Amino acid sequence: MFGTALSQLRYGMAILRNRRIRPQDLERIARDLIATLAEFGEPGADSALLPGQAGAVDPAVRRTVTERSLRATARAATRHTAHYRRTFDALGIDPSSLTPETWDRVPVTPKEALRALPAAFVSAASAPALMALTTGTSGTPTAVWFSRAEVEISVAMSTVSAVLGMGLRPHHTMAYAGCSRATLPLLNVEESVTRIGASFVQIGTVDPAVALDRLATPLGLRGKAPQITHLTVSASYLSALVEEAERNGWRAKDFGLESIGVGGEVLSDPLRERAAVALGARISTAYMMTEALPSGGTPCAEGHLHHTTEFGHMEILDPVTHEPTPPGAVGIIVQTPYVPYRDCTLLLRYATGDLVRRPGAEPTCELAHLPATSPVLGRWSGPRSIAVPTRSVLNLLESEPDIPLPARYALVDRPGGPVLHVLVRRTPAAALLGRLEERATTAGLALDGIVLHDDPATLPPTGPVRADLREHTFESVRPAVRVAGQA
Amino acid sequence: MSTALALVGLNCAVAAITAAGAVYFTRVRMPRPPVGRYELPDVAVMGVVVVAAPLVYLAAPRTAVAVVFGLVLCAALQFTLAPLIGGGRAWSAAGALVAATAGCAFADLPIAVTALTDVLLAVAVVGVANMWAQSGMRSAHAAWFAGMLCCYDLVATGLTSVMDRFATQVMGLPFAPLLAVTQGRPPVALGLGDLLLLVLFPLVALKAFGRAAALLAAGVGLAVSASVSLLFGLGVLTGAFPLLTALGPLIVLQHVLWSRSRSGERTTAEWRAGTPRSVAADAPTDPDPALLLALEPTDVDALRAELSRGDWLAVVDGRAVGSGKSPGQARRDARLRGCESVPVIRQHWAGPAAGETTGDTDTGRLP
Repeated sequence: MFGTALSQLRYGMAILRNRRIRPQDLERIARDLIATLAEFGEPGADSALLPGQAGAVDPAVRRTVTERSLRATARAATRHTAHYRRTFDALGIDPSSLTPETWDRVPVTPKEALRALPAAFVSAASAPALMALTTGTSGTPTAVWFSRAEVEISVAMSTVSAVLGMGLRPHHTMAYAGCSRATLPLLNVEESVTRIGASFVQIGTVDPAVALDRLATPLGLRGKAPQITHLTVSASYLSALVEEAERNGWRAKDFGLESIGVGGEVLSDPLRERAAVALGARISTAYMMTEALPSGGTPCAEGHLHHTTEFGHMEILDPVTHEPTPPGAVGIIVQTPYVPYRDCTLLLRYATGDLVRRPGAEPTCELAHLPATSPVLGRWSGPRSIAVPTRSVLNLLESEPDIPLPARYALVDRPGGPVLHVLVRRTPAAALLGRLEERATTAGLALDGIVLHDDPATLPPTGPVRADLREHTFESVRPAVRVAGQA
Repeated sequence: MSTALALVGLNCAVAAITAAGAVYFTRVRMPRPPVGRYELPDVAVMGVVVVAAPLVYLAAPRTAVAVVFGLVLCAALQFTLAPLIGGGRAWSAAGALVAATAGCAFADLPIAVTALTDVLLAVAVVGVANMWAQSGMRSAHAAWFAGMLCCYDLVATGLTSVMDRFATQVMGLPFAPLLAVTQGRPPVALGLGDLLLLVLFPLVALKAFGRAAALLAAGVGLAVSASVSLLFGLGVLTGAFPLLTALGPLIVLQHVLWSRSRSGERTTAEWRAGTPRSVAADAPTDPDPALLLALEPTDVDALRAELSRGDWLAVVDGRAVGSGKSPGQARRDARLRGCESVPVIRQHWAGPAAGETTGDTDTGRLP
């Protein structure tokens, strides 16, 4: 207990003084949390106060900590990164004078700036160790450098989160069906899962039939649940799994899944419901992005997305003017991950491009002490992305069994508004079209029309999804295709 | 009061405090930190405190010693009583008792001071022993603690005059760390460390090994205390005696014997759940019988499936209950054929029988 207390004290002092966090302290806290569970069977009553567990903090204390964290982060960025040195010098901003009220003097950092020259955001005082690349669905991935200490801190926090948030225990088995090249999340999941004593299976984004087969296969291991119990997956790949399960005779009882964690893309409500039925698991989703790690968001029971104030500063701004978004309106998430959680790639007011709506009224949910938004609506790509957000389109399409998953669609601008082109299983489909048009009107989608296609070749270019990052395997669980002339 | 009567009274008090500790342990759930449990380094820290405290107190003025012990006892009393009567009332009760003791000392009422100090000490020992035991202290930790105190007591009490001088300095002081019945020369009293270990080990044994171990631990402790008292009563012993030097090895011995017989200790969660033995000790290490049976599945023909090399079988209790071109498909086929349990999945391969070599030329067998 003395060792644990010492680690917690050192961690607390590092946060209060904005000094370097010793990764060993967080690792020790995570390790002791696991040992505590093994000894007592349950976490202690004050576990909500552990790092990243979103416990309530006195507002005055939070404001003081926010101000100190913003100043420390701005100071480090100005001293050690080329981008912010030039920006602050040009504008004559003294980072030590910034407050939460004057924070808007710092210009918003566009994603393009980081993408164009990642090294300009890397602290000269750090030791870059791992380059994490975003998926790059927009064509060019964004590179974010992490130091060894950052990776270790991230793993320790993932461990705490997996134990307390997901309820992962040693008898569980976690499968990761994200892209195998996503080094940082893969490392995080594998390390945290095995530190807990649970087992880890890497599946990757393989043929969904292969993935389902692996999920259904009993493990036959002593002391473990009979089958894989937890799955980490992107929303589009989950939709591919649902499509495969629904169309090829899989039932929920074929699997032993308890929980599926979805991230990286917008998870629609219909897909969540279909996945829960098809795979028999609880579906959860949280908000986290590589650039802003470990800042992120946690959903509450009332459907808000609550953003942690512990690891970073979050603002909701107009995507064009960068003015604060009023309650009830839609804006983009702008993140400032704090020093000392981040020491390598330093970002101030980073425009994530993720669209959210601010609640019209103050939340009254269990996480009301944390800033709340709607779940992510989509990615900012112009006024149309607010008028017809990705979430609304997916809510419209992914509830229809006659639309293959992942839903393929394109919005084509016309003078009267965008036209939604959708890939369906077969045409004509008058009943389906009627339903879609009616529901689009009910949802208030500003569409000029809906066009159905049964041939991908006739569909206008659609946006890529993570499920498209298909990984090849030598195994096949589909009936062999007889090649002409081979017989 | 005669020495014999005082010795009997002292042992009765020890028995009563041990019993109170056990009752508290089984009925009161003390708060615990969200993260952390008792570990071996904690034993080392406690050891350092135990060794250093008398030396520091010997160098400190008597008043300062009384004030320090008063504050420590007040805090210990509060956290012991808090789960029973609430935190606020516990502070009031602790403050009142400490104030009453201090008042009696100022009023020069030595018997009242001794009696109140004994009460404070008894409650504090029950609380501290419970806090340690309920914080996940394991029998191994208690054994290390006992072993360390055994050596320390031999040196401090048996071979040097440290504890003797310490007892002389604090005797009669309010909040003195001695469970005293008389203050003669020598006094009939038991040191705080002795009392703590006498109360602590039965609790830890109860958690780790069960009621029999706890009763044995309490019985051994009382027997040691009674034997030493008897030797004093018979005049064999006349000065300070290192009780822990006798008790420590017996605690270590009990720990070793119980650990071996139970193949490990119960965790706090297992104790609270009433698990008779450590789950880890009962975890089977033999191969799973279901896997052994699946090595040579039967009823494959009953599936009436056209199986080829590389196909997969679902096996339950050694019987094939499904098949498929992949592991998952075999599992699904088993479900479609009415199998409710999760089968063992294996590839269809007529492997060599026990004792058979692989040097034959049969076709249809994978290497």
